[in-house]
Amino acid sequence: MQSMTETAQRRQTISKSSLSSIRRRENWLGWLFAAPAILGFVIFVFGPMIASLWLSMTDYKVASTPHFIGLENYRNLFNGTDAFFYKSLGVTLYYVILSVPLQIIVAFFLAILLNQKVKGLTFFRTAFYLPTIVPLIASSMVWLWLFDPDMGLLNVIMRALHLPESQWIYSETTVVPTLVLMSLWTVGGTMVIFLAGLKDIPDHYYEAIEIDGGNALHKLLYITIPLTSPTIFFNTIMGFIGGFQVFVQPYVMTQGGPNNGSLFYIFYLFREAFTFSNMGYACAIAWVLFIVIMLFTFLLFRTSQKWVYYEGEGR
Amino acid sequence: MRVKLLLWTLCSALLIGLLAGCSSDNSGSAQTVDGKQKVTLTYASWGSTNEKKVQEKIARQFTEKYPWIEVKYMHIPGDYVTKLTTMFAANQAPDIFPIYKAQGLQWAEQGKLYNLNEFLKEDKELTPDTLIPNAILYWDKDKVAGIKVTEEAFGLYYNADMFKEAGLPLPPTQAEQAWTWDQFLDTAKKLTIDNNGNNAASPAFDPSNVKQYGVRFDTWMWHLMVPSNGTSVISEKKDKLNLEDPQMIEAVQKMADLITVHHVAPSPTQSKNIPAPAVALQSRKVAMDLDGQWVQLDLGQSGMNYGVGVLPKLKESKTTLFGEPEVISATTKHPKEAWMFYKFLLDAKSGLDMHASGLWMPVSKEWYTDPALIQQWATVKPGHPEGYTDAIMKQTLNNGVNSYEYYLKNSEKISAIINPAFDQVWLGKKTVQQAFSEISAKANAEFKGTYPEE
Repeated sequence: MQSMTETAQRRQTISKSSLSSIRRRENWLGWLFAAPAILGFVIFVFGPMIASLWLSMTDYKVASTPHFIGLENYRNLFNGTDAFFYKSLGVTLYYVILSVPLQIIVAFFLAILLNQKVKGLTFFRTAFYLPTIVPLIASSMVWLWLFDPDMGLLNVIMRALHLPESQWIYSETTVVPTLVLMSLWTVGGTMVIFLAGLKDIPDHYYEAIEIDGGNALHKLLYITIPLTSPTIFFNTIMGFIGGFQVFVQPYVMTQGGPNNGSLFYIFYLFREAFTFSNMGYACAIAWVLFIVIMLFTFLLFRTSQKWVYYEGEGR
Repeated sequence: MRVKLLLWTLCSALLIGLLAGCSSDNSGSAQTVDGKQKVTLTYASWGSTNEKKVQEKIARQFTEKYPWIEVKYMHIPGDYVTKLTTMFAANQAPDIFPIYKAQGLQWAEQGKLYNLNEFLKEDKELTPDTLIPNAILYWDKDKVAGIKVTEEAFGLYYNADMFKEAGLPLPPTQAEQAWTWDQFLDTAKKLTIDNNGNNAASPAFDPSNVKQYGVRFDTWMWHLMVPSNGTSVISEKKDKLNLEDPQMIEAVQKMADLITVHHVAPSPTQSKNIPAPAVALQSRKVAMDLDGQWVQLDLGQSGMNYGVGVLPKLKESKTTLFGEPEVISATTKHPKEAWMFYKFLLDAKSGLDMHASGLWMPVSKEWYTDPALIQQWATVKPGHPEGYTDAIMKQTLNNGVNSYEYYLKNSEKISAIINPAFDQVWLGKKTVQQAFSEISAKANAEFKGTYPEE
């Protein structure tokens, strides 16, 4: 009879060799099934990214052969030769700073509201979520009509309520706030994520507060907000990234006007690429955006240590 | 095992289907028709569904005439420049296509387009002399980017019934009798009526309550009157933009004043409530329309009693020309056949329906001078009202001035700087002089020179 160790060793070697062929097969199958996703990423995302990085350092104008010009495109962006770069950055930042906090707050309170036991809950949740699946171009056309200063529904309502009318998207100063307002219509997606986050909070925390004599405000400040802070954090980051990439509204509704008041960054990029045929330059513009968003995301992550509580971690 | 086999066959069938769908149409095998090698040309263009039908017909007629050349037509209804740019990047540019003049000249400089002078200087039928003036676009000395496929000119369109009811004389059709600006303004004032029945000439006029405007125009035509004032958007020495020239500023300010001072024209915001030009004239929202002759198609089909006159003049009677060029891509594999189709396109006979409908104007001189040819298009109703031959046709031939966009390099970028400045002008917040002086430095920084006129 073999010793226990010998048997164990033999079992190990047997299992290793027979397992290795199974494991090899599983390995191969794993790669095979992951291949479409990996290939898709490499061919359609990573490859073009590298190409765009290379093109951003050339003077590519689509039909001509690209000539390497180093960082000249980037220099032209930052040293002020381009009349629109800083303006479009400013407009986009203005929009992001205005829209993201508003969207978070509105979505959060909507989620809280829809977390209560109210009649027709499913209906309301659907109703608030539905706008997010309407194609943006279609809704932009409808909003164009609503914003019409003379006949649009919004000004008609303002007139009826004896409130001051607004020029909405037709005035340089009100165009970005108007677009922010328009973005609040599609806040349903963020709201649904908040709902999921809210559902994660165990009821006994709320009961504890009730026992301690707290009211709804205490519940909000001391339980709801801290425990949904990871969700708030996620939505803030997504909101920032999305806000920087707004394109359809300026393209369909304002064409960057009035007087460059809605010259959003991606619209400016699109114009450089396709109207002015400056493809290489447009690639440089795209990479600058990448770095800007990366910076903001990094900053958000750093500050998140202070206010985001993950359950299971110590303070 | 059977299920596995089934799955594998399903997957491979899907894959093959995908690959087959993704592969490009390959009709490359050499065939001969009539002993000649078969050639396939791609012809792309913009336009409405009506124009699409006409273009397809032209392509078919060409292949009937030259059976070994097949012309495939590609209709691009929207985002034309974006689509073409992408096709160029994929090396799949169509062989022949029209393009906006600004992009056309830019692309020619960048090497995307064929130098048509190669053909033009050898061709017996199509020469600079057989064409109307200003028809050829040069991007450099002896380098032709394109030739206008149809000409476009501006005129004064009006609703004749409104004039009769107001008891006002109709706008003149001959250049010698063109209205002065003041005469034009006077008429416009009498035809601008507010909801209380007061016209713009009366002191009780309420500009915020206008029922009917005397005139309308597209604000991107801010430079319409500049040639008439004896100047140009480009400085005489061709070394910068003419944004400080008092004549230039005056010509543009007069257009702006129609909106902001005299209130006879709707502002861009008010224009949003006014329908398309032909409908606006028909529904009596406006009495006159400073517009391109292409509106005659819609005006003719509306059944309305409309007329055309020469534009009002400042110093001299002129009209601004706007026709877009047809071009051949530099990557075409069959330049000779492409040139044959090109000439076919430029011949007004090929698309005679569109010329007769009022939408297109020919580019060959004989169609403006030979009476037998003139009556095939310029007098055909309802697309051509009485007086068209004087107001538009003769005016194009004798007093036509090309828009500055034919000669300004980097004009798209410069327009992107100038146009936002105009947003303030149309609102009446700035004068043209203020707006121009503010952007003059930035716009001139983008001034990269001019294209030759011949």
